[in-house]
Amino acid sequence: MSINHLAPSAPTILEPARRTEPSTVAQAIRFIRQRHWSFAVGSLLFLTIAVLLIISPWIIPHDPAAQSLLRRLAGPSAQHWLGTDHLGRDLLSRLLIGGRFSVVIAAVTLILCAVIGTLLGVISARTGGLVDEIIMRVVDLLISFPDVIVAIFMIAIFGPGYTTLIVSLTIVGWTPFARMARGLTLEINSREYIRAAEVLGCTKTFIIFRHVIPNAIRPIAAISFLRFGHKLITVGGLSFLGLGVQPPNADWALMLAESQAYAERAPLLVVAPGLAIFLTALSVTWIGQGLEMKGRNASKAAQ
Amino acid sequence: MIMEKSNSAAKTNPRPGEPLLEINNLQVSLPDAPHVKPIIDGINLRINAGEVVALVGESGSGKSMTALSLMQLLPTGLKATSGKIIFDGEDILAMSQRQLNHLRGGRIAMLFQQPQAMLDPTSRVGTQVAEPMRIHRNVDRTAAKARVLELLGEVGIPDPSARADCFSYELSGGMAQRVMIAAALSANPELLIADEPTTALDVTVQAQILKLLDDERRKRKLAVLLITHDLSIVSALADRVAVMYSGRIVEEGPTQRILNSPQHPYTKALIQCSLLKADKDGNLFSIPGGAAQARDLDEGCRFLPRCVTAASANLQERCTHLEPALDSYNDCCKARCWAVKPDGAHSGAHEARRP
Repeated sequence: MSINHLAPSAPTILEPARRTEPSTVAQAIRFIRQRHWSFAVGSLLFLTIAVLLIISPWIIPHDPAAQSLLRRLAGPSAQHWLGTDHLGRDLLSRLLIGGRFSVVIAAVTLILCAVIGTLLGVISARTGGLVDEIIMRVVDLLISFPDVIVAIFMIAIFGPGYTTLIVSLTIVGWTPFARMARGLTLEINSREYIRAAEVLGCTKTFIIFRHVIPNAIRPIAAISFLRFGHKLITVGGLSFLGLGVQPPNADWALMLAESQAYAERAPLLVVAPGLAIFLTALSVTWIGQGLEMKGRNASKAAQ
Repeated sequence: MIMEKSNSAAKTNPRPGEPLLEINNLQVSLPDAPHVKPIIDGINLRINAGEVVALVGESGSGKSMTALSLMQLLPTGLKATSGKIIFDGEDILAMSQRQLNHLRGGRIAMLFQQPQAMLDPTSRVGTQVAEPMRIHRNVDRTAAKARVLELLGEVGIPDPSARADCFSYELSGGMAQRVMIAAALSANPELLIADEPTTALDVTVQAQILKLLDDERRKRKLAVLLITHDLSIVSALADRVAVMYSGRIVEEGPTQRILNSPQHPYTKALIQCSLLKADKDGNLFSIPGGAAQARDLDEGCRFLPRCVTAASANLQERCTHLEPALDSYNDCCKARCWAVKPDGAHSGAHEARRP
């Protein structure tokens, strides 16, 4: 009479899903193997770049700011592996140092945006009513400003610097995360386990952190990774316009801007920093893509 | 199956037999849509400590809404507009959010229809069972963990320590309901609301879960509000039964009395449906009409359009214009029907007309 409409894939009692406590390494390998190839490749690429950027102050062969006008625009040689720029500065050293600023700014901004956006989005959806209305209208308002315009405006007032750049990019940057988190939360809100948590007497904050965010984090993480490239290019764009890193400090986008005029005589000057930006953005995008692919498969399997 | 409880050892105030929960004239409606009739219209129900009360009725009769209003967790838009819900001397409807959080899970626990959907897929079973005691009893992590394993063992989960590390999708429906029972019991509540706890399970598992529920509530002297449409479950577990129709209680009394000699035509029809007997043409019995139309009636008995008794007992006039009150027809039972005489003897027309 009663029809069992439970998932047919539910494990039977005879075969308990016992955990044999695999080692962390084994778990990590399994985690990577379950995912799309782009996750592994992207992670490897990004790790390499990150390590190089972190240790760069100790491995660079020359002072990145030391000029030698006699050797300007030299091609690759044993002394200068990638040659020198228009002021005779070592390109490899500048390349290794030059990524630090953009990558750090992009990463910090992104994390801030993701955290603020997710929190506000979740609160908006969980509270509803007037709070929801206000937050979402603010999002509508902010999302209509291009972030570069806001950044230029802020830098014009407060001058270039880490803080200004991060703040100005975050002001607009959190909005897509808020929208997305709100949508995810509305969906999670209708799930039975949220009702169960309410019935168990969990407080609002507890439910948000314990049940809503863990269930929404996966798509948000995937989007964060995908947006990293975008942030990196925005920061680069600002540096290119002279609003980010100030000379003589090195920065990939700044290097691009400075060497434009010499692109024909020394193409490597343009290609190398451009490639560096491209590869960094690509690696993180790949990580995000790999994560998302797995997300799709996993939810399919769970149904 | 129904036994008189011999509870002497009292757990807390109130003692067994004393009222734990009293719903007085509860009305739930949509305040934003005044033209819509109340979803729950003037319900009175008492649950004594240690007692199992079943709330029976077809879908849409307001059973689950009654349960949710006890928790003050009605869906958005619905509100308890009048009445009182007195739990252990305090009105739930007047409580602050903090008091409510303390009540939910701490003193009143709830089980639901779809146990697997009730478990958060991102958190481990053990963590979720521990939640109520961590919230309500301030148990620290290690003590909670030990207690969880103990509880999981009590609700009949083999190999609790392995199971505590599982996620909800690794459990079968029966297992998941056992886990939910463990979670519900973990903070030692006084009242358990079981909203169709076995509807989603297959019959053999149903029986196990019901047995477990019955054992646990006897052991813990737990009062249970059992919401179901399955009369066999009612007869197996409940001390008293209240039959709901269209947001009202139409008949109420001790389970065996009601099930053996129902008075209200709706209760009779429900029992007849649950017997699953075919008539001579091979058709199963079903109550004619739908529950939805009852809400549109402005006056008279809400069950009238579907009632076989009214037509036969020459009560049409009265039934169309006046709604009967929920009156006692003997020492312990109440029914909301014009055809039911106070002494318990039904009007002669009744029996004759039953097919």
